[in-house]
Amino acid sequence: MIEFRKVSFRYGGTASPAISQIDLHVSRGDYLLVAGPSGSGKSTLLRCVNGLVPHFYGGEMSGTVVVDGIDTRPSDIGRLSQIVGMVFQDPESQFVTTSVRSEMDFGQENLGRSPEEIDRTTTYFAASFDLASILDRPPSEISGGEKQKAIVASVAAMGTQVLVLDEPTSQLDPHSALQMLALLRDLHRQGYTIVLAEHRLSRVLKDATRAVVLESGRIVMDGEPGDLVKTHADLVHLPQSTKKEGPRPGAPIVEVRGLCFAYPGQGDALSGIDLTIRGAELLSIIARNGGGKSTLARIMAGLLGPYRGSIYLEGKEQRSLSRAELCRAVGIVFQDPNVHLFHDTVAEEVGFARANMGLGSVGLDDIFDAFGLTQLRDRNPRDLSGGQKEKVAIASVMSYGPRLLILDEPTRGLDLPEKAGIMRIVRSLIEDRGTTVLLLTHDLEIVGAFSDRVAVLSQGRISYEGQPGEAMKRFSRELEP
Amino acid sequence: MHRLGVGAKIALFGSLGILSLAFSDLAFLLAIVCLCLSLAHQGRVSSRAWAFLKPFLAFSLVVFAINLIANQNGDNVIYRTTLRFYWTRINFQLTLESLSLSLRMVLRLLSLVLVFVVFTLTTKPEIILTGLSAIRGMESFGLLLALSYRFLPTLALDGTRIKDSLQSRGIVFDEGKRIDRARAYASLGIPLVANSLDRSLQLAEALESRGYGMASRRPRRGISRLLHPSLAAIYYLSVSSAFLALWLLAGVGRAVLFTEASHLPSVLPFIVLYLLPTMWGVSE
Repeated sequence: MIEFRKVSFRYGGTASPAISQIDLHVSRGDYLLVAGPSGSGKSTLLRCVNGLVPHFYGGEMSGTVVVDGIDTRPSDIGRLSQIVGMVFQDPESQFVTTSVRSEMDFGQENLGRSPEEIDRTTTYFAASFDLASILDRPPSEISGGEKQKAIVASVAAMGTQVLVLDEPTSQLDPHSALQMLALLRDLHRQGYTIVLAEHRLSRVLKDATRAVVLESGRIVMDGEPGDLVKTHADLVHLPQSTKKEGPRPGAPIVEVRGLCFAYPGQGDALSGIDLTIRGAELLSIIARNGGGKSTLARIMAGLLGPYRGSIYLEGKEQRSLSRAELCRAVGIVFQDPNVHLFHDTVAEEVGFARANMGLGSVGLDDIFDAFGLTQLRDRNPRDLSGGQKEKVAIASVMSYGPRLLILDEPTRGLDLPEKAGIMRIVRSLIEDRGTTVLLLTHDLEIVGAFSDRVAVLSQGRISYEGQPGEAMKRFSRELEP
Repeated sequence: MHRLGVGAKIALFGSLGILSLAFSDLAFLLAIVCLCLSLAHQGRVSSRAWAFLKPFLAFSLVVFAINLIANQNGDNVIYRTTLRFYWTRINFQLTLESLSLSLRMVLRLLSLVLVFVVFTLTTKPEIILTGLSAIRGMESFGLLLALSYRFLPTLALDGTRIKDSLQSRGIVFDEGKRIDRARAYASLGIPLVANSLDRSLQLAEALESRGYGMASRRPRRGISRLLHPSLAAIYYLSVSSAFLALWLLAGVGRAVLFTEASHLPSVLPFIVLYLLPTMWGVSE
């Protein structure tokens, strides 16, 4: 079905190839798992299958990619789109129209099908993908998982035989991610050929029929998915917990009492939150997407105001603090590190907040060392990898030494080694500097390996607060349909 | 109102727009304004329509005053005076004719604005955009508008996130001197543009991957939906054609003055005939 023959590709303006000398044969009906660390060439390999490489990106390509008997180079993306459906990471950026129905119609319209055929096909695929009830909803009113499902349905409705998916679950919560993987399992059973690049390998190993691992643009392993655990354990499982004895959690530095919040015209997003965070501990809050994690983070950072309840920071009520005092006390890093990056160099980015607060540059070198950014000081932060961007974002906040660091989904979209790297740095902030960390995430692997305590946020309330093991058990039960 | 088919809505509001340009009788123009307000009420968009209308009310007053001053013709004088401005004398007279003309201009302006506002408030933008995309030669423009509309909430959300991130690092947006606040807001620009460029690249990939631009001729689905003959649309077109014919042949709706109210008896059926389908709950 898909044949790579000695394929190499180099993007324009780069010195080294993104992939080199790739030989790969994918049979009809295969479920191929493509693994590898960030920057190893997975996305480039996938984009060769539907012709985005080289037709969309330009660059230099050698070798041949043949899909269902069609050589991709003399062909074009439009023709290949009838055979290969491509699904990308971020559902928000690839949902091109204004409703689920028009999204499903869109690809078919591009194929020039008749209106009657489009209506018939859309109705059929909406029923088989369980989208009938949300067909006329706009993207702003559906979840990330539903968006991603609608996009898979829209490419399936084009009559494609091959589905190429580039980390389609990386932006989804565990529940939606499991639903997406179950959907792929069904499609594979129906005879679709599936090529999936994924970071969270443990949950797809049993579905895939074959796995390849890429490193520096080359295939270093090609075999049974089960072999991955033996040959590349670091890509499958997080290393054992790296928690070490640091300063014992001290007195409470944050106390949240009876906190209630509602967005205008909506019901309560948070209702009666009670929470205590002690000094020098890592407290994780886990919740499903839309469960109120980010709202709580914004309230604690003083960016939103609750309609009832209070937050005490080291005994002082948050409301009594000035904006400057609050900024010094609480640092927050948002989900998308890109929202933190607006300077030309890493050095300027990391030093900005500190300079803005009039703290000078003394001690900044320690921050660069602690985050492993010394070699990257002169680089543009937007040119860095996802993990490096996340480090810059956290470093830019830690530069002014807040006592409480709030991390909202810091590991989203990162591979396991990158996640582990970020979390080790976070642990060192707790153990070496006594920083208190509030981690908001639905990445249970990270929670289990690095948290001191865990709280489960469910339907706007804290339903459990205590040991990580018990919290994760309860949260997993909540995810069950 | 919301259940009414798009074709019927285009027929309804399109013909009301045409009639508001054709009619010059005050009673008929007032009837169109009342009709639109009633349709807005039925569609439960009165408060939003009012928000759109408010700025036009001030503008309407200006239009009224200019017409009153510029046009002093007519035999039915209500008030006459001479204004002395330094060494010049300006004669001003208020006539029934000029008052009537000024009111007509204001009512026509308001009815056109209301026709547009009530139509857009009771019709999903997606449907309008789909229709636009289906017009031959307008496909790319239609898609561009649809994408802009689709990504407005995303852009707004990105802006809020960036603002939050900057605020948490000590940038103050709502306090201090104007220049400082302007500087603070300007700092939103770089990450917002950079994020939007990233997104546009991903969007272009998604469009290409789904064969955009491949079909030499996309099916004209929007147009066929819009022009799908519905009973309500045929009804509105028939009623409008009848009134246009009466306007052409019998001069219905062509009054000039308040005093000439010979066509007043036709206004009531005009209102009833237009309101009937929506009051009856016709959806197509």
